[in-house]
Amino acid sequence: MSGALARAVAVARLELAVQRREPLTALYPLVLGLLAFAYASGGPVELVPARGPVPRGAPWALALACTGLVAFGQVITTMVAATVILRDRAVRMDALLATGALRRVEYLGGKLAAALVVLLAVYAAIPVGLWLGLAADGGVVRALDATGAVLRPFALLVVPVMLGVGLLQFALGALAGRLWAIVGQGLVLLWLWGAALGAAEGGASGAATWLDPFASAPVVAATRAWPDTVRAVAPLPVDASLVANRALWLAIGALAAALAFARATIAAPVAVPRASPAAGDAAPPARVDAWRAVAAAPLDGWATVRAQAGYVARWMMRDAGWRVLAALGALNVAVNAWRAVPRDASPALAAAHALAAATMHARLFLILLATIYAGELVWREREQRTAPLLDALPARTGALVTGGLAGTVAAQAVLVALLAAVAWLAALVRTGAVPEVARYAAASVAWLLVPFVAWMACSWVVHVVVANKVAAHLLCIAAWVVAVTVDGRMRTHGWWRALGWPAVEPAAFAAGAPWDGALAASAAWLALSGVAVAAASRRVARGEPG
Amino acid sequence: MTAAPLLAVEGLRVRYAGGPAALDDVAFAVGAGLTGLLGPNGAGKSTLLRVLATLQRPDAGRVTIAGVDALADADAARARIGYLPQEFGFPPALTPRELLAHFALLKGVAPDGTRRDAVDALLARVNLWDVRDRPVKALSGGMRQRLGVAVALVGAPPVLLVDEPTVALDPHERHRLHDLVVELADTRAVLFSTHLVADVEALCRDVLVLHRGRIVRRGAPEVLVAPLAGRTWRARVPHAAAPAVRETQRVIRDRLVGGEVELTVVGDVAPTPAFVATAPTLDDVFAEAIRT
Repeated sequence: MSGALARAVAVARLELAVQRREPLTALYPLVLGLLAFAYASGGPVELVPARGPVPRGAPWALALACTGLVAFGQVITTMVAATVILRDRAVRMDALLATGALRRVEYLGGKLAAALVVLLAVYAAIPVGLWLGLAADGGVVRALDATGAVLRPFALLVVPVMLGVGLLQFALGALAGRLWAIVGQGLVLLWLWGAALGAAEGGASGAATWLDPFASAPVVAATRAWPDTVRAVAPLPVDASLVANRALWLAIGALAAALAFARATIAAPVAVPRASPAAGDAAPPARVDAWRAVAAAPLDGWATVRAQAGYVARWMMRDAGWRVLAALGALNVAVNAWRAVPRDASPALAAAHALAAATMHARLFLILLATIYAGELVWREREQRTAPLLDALPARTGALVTGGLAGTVAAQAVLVALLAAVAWLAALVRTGAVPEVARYAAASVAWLLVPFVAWMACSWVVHVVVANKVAAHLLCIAAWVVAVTVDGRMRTHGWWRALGWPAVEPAAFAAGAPWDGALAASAAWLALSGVAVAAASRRVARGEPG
Repeated sequence: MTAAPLLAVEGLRVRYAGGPAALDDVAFAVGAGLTGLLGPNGAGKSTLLRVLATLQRPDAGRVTIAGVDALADADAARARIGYLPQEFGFPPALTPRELLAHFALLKGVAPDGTRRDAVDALLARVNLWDVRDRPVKALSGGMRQRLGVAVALVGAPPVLLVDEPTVALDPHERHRLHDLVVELADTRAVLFSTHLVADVEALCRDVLVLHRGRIVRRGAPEVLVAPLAGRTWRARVPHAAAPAVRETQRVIRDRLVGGEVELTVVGDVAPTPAFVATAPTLDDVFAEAIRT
């Protein structure tokens, strides 16, 4: 083995050894495999909408299930690609690696190979889960008959998508060296997926479906006209759109990877500090000893809450990740509100359509932000090592916790206001008339802000109780996926209806918003999350236990 | 009549599960002035400072800070201490002025006008005035360290706890920090923890040597050095001969110089004619104290 190849293999081996010891590497295939199993075995997971009488094990249904799982799994692809390329910088090993004999190509080659091996192992859980689910539902013989129908979408959809998205995320991670950039790109991919899928479901085909990085749109477009009898038996079609889609995204991934191999560095680039403001732009205070004259005293609770809330809201809203997610969310809401609002809608109907678009298309961004920043509230001070400085201050723990949560809510309120305003403005531009304001603003609070405040509070509780950042994030995201999955099926149950916000149906909403349901759900969730926060607050400790 | 100490510790014990005592019956009291806390890595210095900063409860003992029982009323004690931990950080997007204003508010420095004046004065005092509105991520390591000092000084606390503050600083920044610490010690008790003997020798009139959780020496540098006067001997011996000396003599220091081993031993007489009498230093005291 040549020296270069040996070094690349050594990098890959070390990465795989680290990945083997990561609990998440085992959790990822478990999640995908269980989702696939739950779908194929007839469980509560409904991965293929509007399946009609077509059985879950039909090749068409299995193919669409695979596209859904691989779209969901891109969160995993992002995490793996981010971990392999960003960890060395995070643990400050990058400079050690960069100053040895290792070359960029060997380093990136080894990392990429390891990432792809891990991803392949993770995604292999999909056919395994599907096959086991079919066996559990209809017996081993039936499952053996369906083996081809399980493996075909894995080979034609799952692996190419994993490869294309994996290359793209890996390349951006290597070039940008920032987690938020990878997450931002992941959201752009999800948005393209939603847009292309929407176009395909609306009758578009050809180039419109090429935009889908997860290859769902070409499959939907090619099989849209199939009758149920064909859907029940015909294999996944490999038409020109699917081939073009895959070729396009694999080429994009390969180009991005080539750019990374040509331009990325092993060690994080040295940040060049910005020029300091000109000295003397304001004279220093005349009495430099003024600080000696002021004594400290324990602060009252409300002053602490206000101070901590302002501090947390400031650092959150200045965080690049928050700003990227907020900007992408605003873009997504604006585009979808523009598409949703009819040109001739009345002010009430335009506002209702704008609200429907905002609640539907802001959800993912708000959920991500609420989950991530609830975790940051618990972990950031410790990770940045500000905690010992803050813990040594004469401020009550309860007031600090309350202030932190209030600051997060304030930042969420700013974001919700932005998203609601963007949707409203899109409706204004679309119709040329001023949409209803007062009811729209009140409904934005009830349907957008309150659910996400409650979600953020619950996420914070999960982080405090679980006491593991990554596990808590995954638990929250998984809980959201489960909630969304079962939501449609549970709407007929009285207790679920009581806890869920009424859907925003624009026509009905314009006539009269279902305030009773929204207020009941708001009250229930705010009470539940408030109790949970109060209980979890007792676990928040200052300093270290004795 | 002597003034009440600003910082007093009695019978302090901390034991981590499954390990030896991190602090074992530690007791001392200090008034205004600079007290050096010397100890090798793992001696218990950071544990002691965390306990004094109310961040860790001891298993037993009593801590009094400016007349306040710190274990009974942590908030009142926190208003009287300034703490600069060994490792700390700040949100990178916020500016020194914003951060200092926040810490001042949480420390209970009020009202607004007074607080603003105090924050600006502190920024000027630690030479961060020109970068007051720059994000923390754009500051150098020395600037961040000085911001940490400013945070510790907010509210003009009578007791300052400073943990290894100069470890990552260049000589120039180290000198500036020394100047500041000496100036601060005129009216307040400053406990300056370090494993750098030179720092303590240069700054402190009072030294505590902590080893394996116990205070093994206490006093002014010249007092600590006195017992070794006339009993410290030094020689360079060939590498091969060093083990025999180590076995038979009380060697307190041992270093390589030009390929030979320079040994410093303590004893009433020179071990061999090759050993010459040498004036003892605080380094020797420290080495002798932690030898056992």
